[in-house]
Amino acid sequence: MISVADFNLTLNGKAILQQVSVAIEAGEVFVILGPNGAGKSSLLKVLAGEFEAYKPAVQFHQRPLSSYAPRELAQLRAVMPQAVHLDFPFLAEEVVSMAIPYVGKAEVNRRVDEALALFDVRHLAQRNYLTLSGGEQQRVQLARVLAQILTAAKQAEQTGGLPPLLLLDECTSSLDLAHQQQVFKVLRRLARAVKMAVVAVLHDLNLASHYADRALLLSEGKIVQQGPIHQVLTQSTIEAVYQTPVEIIERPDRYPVIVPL
Amino acid sequence: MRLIKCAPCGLSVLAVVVLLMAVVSMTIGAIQIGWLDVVLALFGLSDNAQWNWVVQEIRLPRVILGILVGAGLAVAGAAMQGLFRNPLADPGLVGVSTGAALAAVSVIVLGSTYLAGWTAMTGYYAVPIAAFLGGLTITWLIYQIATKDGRTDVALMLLAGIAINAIAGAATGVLTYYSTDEALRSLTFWTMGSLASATWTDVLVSGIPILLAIGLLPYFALTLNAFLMGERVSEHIGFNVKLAKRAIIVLTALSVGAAVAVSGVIGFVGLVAPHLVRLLLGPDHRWVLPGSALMGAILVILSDSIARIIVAPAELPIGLVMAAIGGPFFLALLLQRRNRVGF
Repeated sequence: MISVADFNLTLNGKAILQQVSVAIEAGEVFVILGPNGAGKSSLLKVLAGEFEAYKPAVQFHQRPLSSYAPRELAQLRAVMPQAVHLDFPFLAEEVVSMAIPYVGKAEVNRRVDEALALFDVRHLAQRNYLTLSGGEQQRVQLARVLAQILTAAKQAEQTGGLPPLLLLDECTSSLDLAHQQQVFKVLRRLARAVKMAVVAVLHDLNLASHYADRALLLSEGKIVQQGPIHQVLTQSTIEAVYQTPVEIIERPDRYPVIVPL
Repeated sequence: MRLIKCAPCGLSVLAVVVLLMAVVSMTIGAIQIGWLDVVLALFGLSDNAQWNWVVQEIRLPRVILGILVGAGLAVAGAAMQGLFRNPLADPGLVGVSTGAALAAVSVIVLGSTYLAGWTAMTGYYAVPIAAFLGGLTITWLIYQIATKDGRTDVALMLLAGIAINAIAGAATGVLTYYSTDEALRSLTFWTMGSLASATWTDVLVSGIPILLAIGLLPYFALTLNAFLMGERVSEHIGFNVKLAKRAIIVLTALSVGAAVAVSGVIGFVGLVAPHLVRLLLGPDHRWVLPGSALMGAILVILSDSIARIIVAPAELPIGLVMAAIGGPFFLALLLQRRNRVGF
């Protein structure tokens, strides 16, 4: 669905990513892992097309990213950055509706409602976004990015249109335990149901172990390991990359748990 | 939070208030004319020929100029606040108005010597176009200084504004003191503003660019809404951010330049008006932009009326009255942001 091959990213003379090749498929939850400063967010930004000069190198649905018109791209893929700063007192539902400026009012209301409900923030629809807690704001932002591609998702399911893509940078960093699980359950369900692809930068290895299909482990801008999640999350690899001892607890019929020692 | 739920109704109410205040404002002056006579005189129907003349040639251009200047400054303030993603941006505070004033004064003082080529080229519009270019330069400069990676550093923005205000203010002062040019109005005019010498020519010169800005800026209302969450976010939502940014900077400068060229520097309109509108109608730019234009008109007509009444038969500079209202308002805003639960 989206891919780069043998990709190098250099910013201000510094090599940020080196020889990165990755191909994300429709219907999967793909996580990007690695220590701080490994280049995870940069890779996500490359896929999001934030570096103008590198857009031709990114293939999205068999076309270079640079060949898409802004609106065409917006309907097929949404991006949630690590942090969103908003200084104006919009209602939560208005924040979500900003993602879909080109559809009619009734359709906006329906989609906003659906997106808010998916992330358990429907009851906050009429609240001032600035008065919400960090976790609530994050869930409203998740609803916003999902609302943006909801139509493409429905079309992909019903008429076999191009499935959409979600790019998420640490989208659960402010969430409590239950909501972290709930968010990834929703994301995985959508990935399966409508063949949507989810690419998430994550720090929590256990969330990755629980919900991801495949993973890419980065260190200092290079790929250390890539593949099915449980082939990536091995004790030796984690210890080498994160420079800290861990134990992996294998459990029958459950995802393995990673415990730092 | 949001006093009026139905935004179009709110805009209509504001429009009616503008009209009412315009009529009331035209009753005030050296000769007291009742509001009914003002309305009659507007159409030349008053029995008193002097009243007809006073209303049509002196008071009407003044009040229309006030409406235009107020609307122009306020809509520019609202758009700048969106562009800078911060409710404290104001053409006066960040130096755009003083930059425009400096350019205008330069053309008037140096128009027959160093800048003779410029005046020959632009003719009648030499001053307003210079003011526009001055405003454009400063807006662009402040944006470059204060914005990095799609985020605005508010402290940098305001501090850069202080520096630019000081530099442009000093240069304007020097030019006015050394000039003997009769075309140049007093330093007070350029630093504190006035509508006292309003003519129909002023209305025409400033009206076109200001109405252009008021007419075109709302096309970018949805982009500005998304812009409040960051440049990247609005790009990912599918807006043409580069185009919108350039257009907003140009239209803002156009509006401020035109207002400054005919009325000098009137501060705080661009800060107070959008703020009151957000309290009334919420922060959505589809309502904030037209609402600010109307609210700005109300504020300027009100200040101009107060400026004429308070020391009659003399007049205060209108900028003084606006500063007396806007200064405390600005402080209150800062205090509120200290406590930081919405506004």
